Amino acid sequence: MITLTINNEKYQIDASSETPLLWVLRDHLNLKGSKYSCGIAACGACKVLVDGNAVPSCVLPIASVIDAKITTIEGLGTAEELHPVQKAWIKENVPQCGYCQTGQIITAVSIYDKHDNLKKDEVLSIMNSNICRCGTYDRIKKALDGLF
Amino acid sequence: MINRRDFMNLSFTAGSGLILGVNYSCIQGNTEKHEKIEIKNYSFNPFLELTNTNKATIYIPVPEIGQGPRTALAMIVCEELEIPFANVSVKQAIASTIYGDMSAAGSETIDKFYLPLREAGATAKDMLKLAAANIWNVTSKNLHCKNGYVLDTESERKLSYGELADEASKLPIPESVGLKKPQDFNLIGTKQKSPDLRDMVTGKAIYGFDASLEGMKYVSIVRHPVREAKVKSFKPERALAIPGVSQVIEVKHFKPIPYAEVLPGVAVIAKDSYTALKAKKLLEIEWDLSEIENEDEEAFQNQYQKLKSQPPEFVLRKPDISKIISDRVLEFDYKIPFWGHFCMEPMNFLASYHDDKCVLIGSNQRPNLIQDLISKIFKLPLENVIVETTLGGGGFGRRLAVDYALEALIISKEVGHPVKTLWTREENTLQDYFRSLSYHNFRIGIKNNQIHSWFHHIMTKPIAGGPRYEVQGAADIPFNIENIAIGYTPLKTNIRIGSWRSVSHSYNVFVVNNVITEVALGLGLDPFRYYLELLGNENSKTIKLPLRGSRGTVECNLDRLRNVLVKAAELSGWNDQNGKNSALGIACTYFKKSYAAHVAEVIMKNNKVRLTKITSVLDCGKVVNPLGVRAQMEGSISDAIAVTLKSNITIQDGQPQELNFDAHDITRIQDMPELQLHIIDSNENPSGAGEPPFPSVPPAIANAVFTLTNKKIRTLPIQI
Repeated sequence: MITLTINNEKYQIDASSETPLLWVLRDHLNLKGSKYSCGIAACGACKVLVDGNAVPSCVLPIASVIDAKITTIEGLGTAEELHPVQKAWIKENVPQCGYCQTGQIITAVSIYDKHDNLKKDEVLSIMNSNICRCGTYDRIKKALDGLF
Repeated sequence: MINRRDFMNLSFTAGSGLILGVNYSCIQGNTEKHEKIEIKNYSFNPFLELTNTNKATIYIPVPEIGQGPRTALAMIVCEELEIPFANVSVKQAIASTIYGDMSAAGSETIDKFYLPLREAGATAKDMLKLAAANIWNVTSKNLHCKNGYVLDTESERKLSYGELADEASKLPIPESVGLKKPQDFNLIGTKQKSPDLRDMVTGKAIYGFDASLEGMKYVSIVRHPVREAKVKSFKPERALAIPGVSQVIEVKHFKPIPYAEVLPGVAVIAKDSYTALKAKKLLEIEWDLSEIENEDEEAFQNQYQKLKSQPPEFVLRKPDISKIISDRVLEFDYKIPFWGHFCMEPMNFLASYHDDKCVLIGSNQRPNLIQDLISKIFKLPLENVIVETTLGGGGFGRRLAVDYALEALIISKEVGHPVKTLWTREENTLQDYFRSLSYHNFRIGIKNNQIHSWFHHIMTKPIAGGPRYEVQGAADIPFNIENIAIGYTPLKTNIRIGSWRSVSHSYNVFVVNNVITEVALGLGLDPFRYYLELLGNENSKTIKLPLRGSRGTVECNLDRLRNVLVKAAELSGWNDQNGKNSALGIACTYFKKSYAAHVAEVIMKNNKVRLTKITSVLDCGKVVNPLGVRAQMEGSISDAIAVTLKSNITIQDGQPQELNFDAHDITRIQDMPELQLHIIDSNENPSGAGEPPFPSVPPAIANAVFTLTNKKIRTLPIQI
């Protein structure tokens, strides 16, 4: 049994220690907002926040995040009030198929919540780690413009 | 096209006032007391239900893969029904012949469903009016509808659709129905956001990968990277030794139709995804490789060299050869590579075969084909094959094939419980139906500083035997050229091919437009002005081709084509070019009833060519949802950048080489240039927007690069 802290709750996980966090979230905990897409940490669809940093969960063994605070897309904002990044995504109607968007949002949240006053280019260079096959980038840029 | 009367009548037992479902909702009253009210649903037709609480449910037949039918189709019903878009919940229809062709294919959704959906809304509206007229004992002619109410302006009475739903749904379906005039539209043409937006940004949206059924297990399948390999024998023991692995079975090659080819392999069935993925690495499989041909790029090139020296196998357009006397002939040879689909959501499907009843759930582009095929293969009545379509993480043509659905069902039948298959990214590429590699040989005859003859020999692997889906965008060029010869010869390869956004337009429009710019510049002409000259002065042109059905008679509205071209030139500042370090490239095409033109701007910076701006102009008739159309234009540009400047698929030893995003990167946010989008304001019937903007983007970029660098571009991606 491995204990993980996800969205401020503790979970006892019955999975071997090398299991990637993504599959534990999806198959064990029914938290399906984090998506499988490349399996090699190259597209960002599976990103979650690990101690505030956006990290691809598809290659992240659960053994490596035992002491970490994990936040998934389901843990952002509250039922009454979404996270400002989610609100910006809604305002700009960003998603098309939507499959990559939870990962995009997690990356943007990791930048937003750190208050580092990054320049626009620096924000885009971090967002470059997430792929969107529908090409929603122009609207992501507009959503980011309203946030940073 | 579905017959409206049949359609509306089939929808429910006429006059029954069918209550489809009852549930309860707590509505908070002023006194902090919770009042429990019963919600009843009434069906008006297969697209529409109304509740007694004045809400509408609209059933969307076409799969949502990011192209927006759940928004646009619902808007069309609401427009005629006169109900606020916010009062509507949208549900995905299960596969049924009642809807006709439900495919997300060929950018035809709006064209196909525009009228039936308007009629669905208008019919229900008339029935609601009549119900109100009966209650008030007046004639329904003097009543009108607004915001979900029937209004009697004379007496200032009103009744909500919810109050009328019961009565109205019992009325006979009107024989004929009047539709709104486009100038009276108040919803169509307005910017509406997706009904799935909130679920998508909170992680609640359900894609195929997220669907579940009680008792389901997860399946991962080992297949050989080369399609013709067969399983000779396998040892399942080591995989079976992993706790949580329940079975290891062989999956046999099965190809009832090309678009449902189940490839041979060995499947691991396990309690969860990771166990299945882990255990499959322990399988020991001996492959029969006797039928493998070690194809590679060199072999394709040799095939081309041989074929281009021979006359085309199929002749699409043939001029009077005796009239062709040119001053000189320019020859062009192009190779446009294989492209993969790389949907963000890899293939997967959930299937259950139990007691001669099948349930299939997942992302697909063709619900009817899945239902029909499985009904035929397993000899089950259609109603025993339930196909539920979830949201799809991209499609781009890949999900028009339904191999993944058939594969999941075959496995479920064998193991006796529901299964969810999951393909890895690499498997998703290896078992893709690629856009075919194509070769093009042009011989352009020049006389009096004009193109006098145009010979274009196309070679691809055909999707269906001969030239059917392979020549559009080339054989139907509407140019004012005296002698046009178009030929087609099939390429032979074992690589599996299929539809990819805009199909043959994706390669043909590239080469055609690149030839025009190169020839124009070579003759010392302005490519834009020369293009206009090629489009002549006629209003329209009908091109007859020796192809079956609508492909044999192609209509091009030249006014609309010239209009998008001129608009793109104007918006991009074509006439004010003066930069030494920058250049513009222009291209245009028509795709079915839609017209698009693009201008790309590239600059030279630190000895590198960079794409800085794209101007995009689209005429897709009357626009239903401008946000959806813009998204398709942006997506087309993003797709185009990937295949023009970044990636492709190459074959070595019969195997695709670029399997994941490390070796096959696609467009990322920093690759996107400045965009200038323009949608032509039009009252023509709505036509497609998903594919039409794509084909002219790659040649616009290539033409800009050629203009700037003078380097001839003969393949993609452009190496700059």
